[in-house]
Amino acid sequence: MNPGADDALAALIEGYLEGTIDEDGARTLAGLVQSGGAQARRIRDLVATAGLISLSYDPVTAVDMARSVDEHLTADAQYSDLLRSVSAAIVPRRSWAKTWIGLGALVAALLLVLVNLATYTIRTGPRASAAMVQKLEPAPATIAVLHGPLQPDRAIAAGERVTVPEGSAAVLIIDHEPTICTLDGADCILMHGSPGIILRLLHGGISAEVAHQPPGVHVTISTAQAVVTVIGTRFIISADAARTQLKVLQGLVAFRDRLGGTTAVAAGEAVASQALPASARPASTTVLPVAETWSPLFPGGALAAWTQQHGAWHSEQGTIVGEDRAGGPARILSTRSLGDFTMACRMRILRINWAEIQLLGYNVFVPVAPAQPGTWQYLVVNVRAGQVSATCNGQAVHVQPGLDLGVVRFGILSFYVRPGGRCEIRDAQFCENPDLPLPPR
Amino acid sequence: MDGSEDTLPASIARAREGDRDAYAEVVRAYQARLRAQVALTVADREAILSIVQDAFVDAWRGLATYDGERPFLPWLRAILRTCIAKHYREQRVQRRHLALVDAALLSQPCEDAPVEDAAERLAALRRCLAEVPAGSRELLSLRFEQDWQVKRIAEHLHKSANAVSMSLLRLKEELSACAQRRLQGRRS
Repeated sequence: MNPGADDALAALIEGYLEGTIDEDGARTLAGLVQSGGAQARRIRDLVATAGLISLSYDPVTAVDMARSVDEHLTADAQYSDLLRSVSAAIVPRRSWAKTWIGLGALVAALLLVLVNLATYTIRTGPRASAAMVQKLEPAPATIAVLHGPLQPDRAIAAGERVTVPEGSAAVLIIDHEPTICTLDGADCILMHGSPGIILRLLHGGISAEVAHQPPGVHVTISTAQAVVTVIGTRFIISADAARTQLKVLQGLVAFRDRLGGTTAVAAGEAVASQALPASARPASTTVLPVAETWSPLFPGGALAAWTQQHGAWHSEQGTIVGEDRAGGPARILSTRSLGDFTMACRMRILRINWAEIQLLGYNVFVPVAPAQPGTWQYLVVNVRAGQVSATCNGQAVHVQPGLDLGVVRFGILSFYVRPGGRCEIRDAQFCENPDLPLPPR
Repeated sequence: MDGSEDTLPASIARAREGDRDAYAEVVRAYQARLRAQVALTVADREAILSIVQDAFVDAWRGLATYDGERPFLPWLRAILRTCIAKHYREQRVQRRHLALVDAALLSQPCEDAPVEDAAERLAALRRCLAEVPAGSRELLSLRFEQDWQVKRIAEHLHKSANAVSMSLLRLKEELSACAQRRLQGRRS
């Protein structure tokens, strides 16, 4: 076996598996696979083994897959119902046009038919919601209108929680854009992003049809397990305490699993988040409150607004402590995505050299690596329009790429403690109002 | 195997009549084998789940075309193969030059092996993984559980990227050989 050739092959295979291989490398690897023989068998075996190892780490149980398939079928059926109801709504207009034809006004009828056909095409195509949006355009102070079949239209303001009982549906029309969401037994909170809209889905399902947004403006739907960023598409998303599933019907959606990586989900594809372990599922739907003024990151010294992903986290007389006594890593995740904000805290790490504050859904990391482990550090982290800066005891900290997805403007905040370590956090506060000065130390 | 084979024909028959609960039993019975099968050609965990889920959704929609007199698994496997091919086709534009390798791997897929082999191989590999020394286990966890890229692992472990890639290649070959030994031992 040639060690040099093995080196090159190892790099090619890892590059292929992680998607960083360049075109020349891909051609070389493809050529080796197609050449047949022992080397081709070896490559196939290595790729197959990588897939099986990857699957070995998958926590999904048989019950999860059965449930996700069932929910997928339910969501498909509900979306079909929506399409049928929209189609039914436009039938009278066609009949009205045909009445004119019946009156013999041939020229006028031809014109009307032409106009009506165009309308019909728009309304039954991807922009089917356009007419409803115009009809239900919300007042400027609101960001959405809730339209239920058995209730009057209701304006929804930022921060408002919308609950649609299980077994029933309502249509949410966002911000006078042709963006329409059908809420199927959904419980959600609507919030302003910067810019854009964030729909925090606590439970239930949403079928969405989102028109192309202006550059930099996104509609974001976040759940306990995943963040879906929409550019202009049609999709179905459903979530419960354990899992989030997404089926894209048209366009392209970025799906970020809070426990894993980001996937671009194209039309016809479905994706499900990894299941949160039972111990990590939120006992309630508590989310980190919006902080217009300096507010505690751990309200009441409690962890209700946080999700424990790894290790054990608890409060000791107001100090938040995280560690894995079995020697693994410890990580805690905010239950809400944050955009622009500033946070300040005191932090101490023990038994290890460094920990991390992970921001914007693992996109950027702030290392906490004191010269002397075990000493308290005063940290300030600032996030503005996807850019992160940080200081430790007043000294600038060199932030590091995490997932490194480019500019990401929203995402969960997490504290990560490397294997075997212990982390203690005190006086943690955050503020989403950029005009306020730092709180006193 | 994660389901009672004895009750499956009845569950399949009820599912064909539109019983979603019965279909859930069918999914539970076959999902592990299908996931292992897809893993032989698709390394991405989320893509594996997505493909298998699509296969079960497509199978539900096509249950009326299934001949109840014939074995169910080959029929389901045919749908799975279509979903794998569809996955590669839909990813072709997005994956650009990676699609060259995808196509080469798919042209003579490992998935031609009997479906039971993949599930047994996965089970054997899981047992082998439990015996991996701690240092190697951390490397595998970073790469396959936490999905870190080689470059980041190299920085984290203060090693070169080449050294990390080589370690991963050797670990994969050792695990594959271990799984084969276990399977042969079991069969003999």
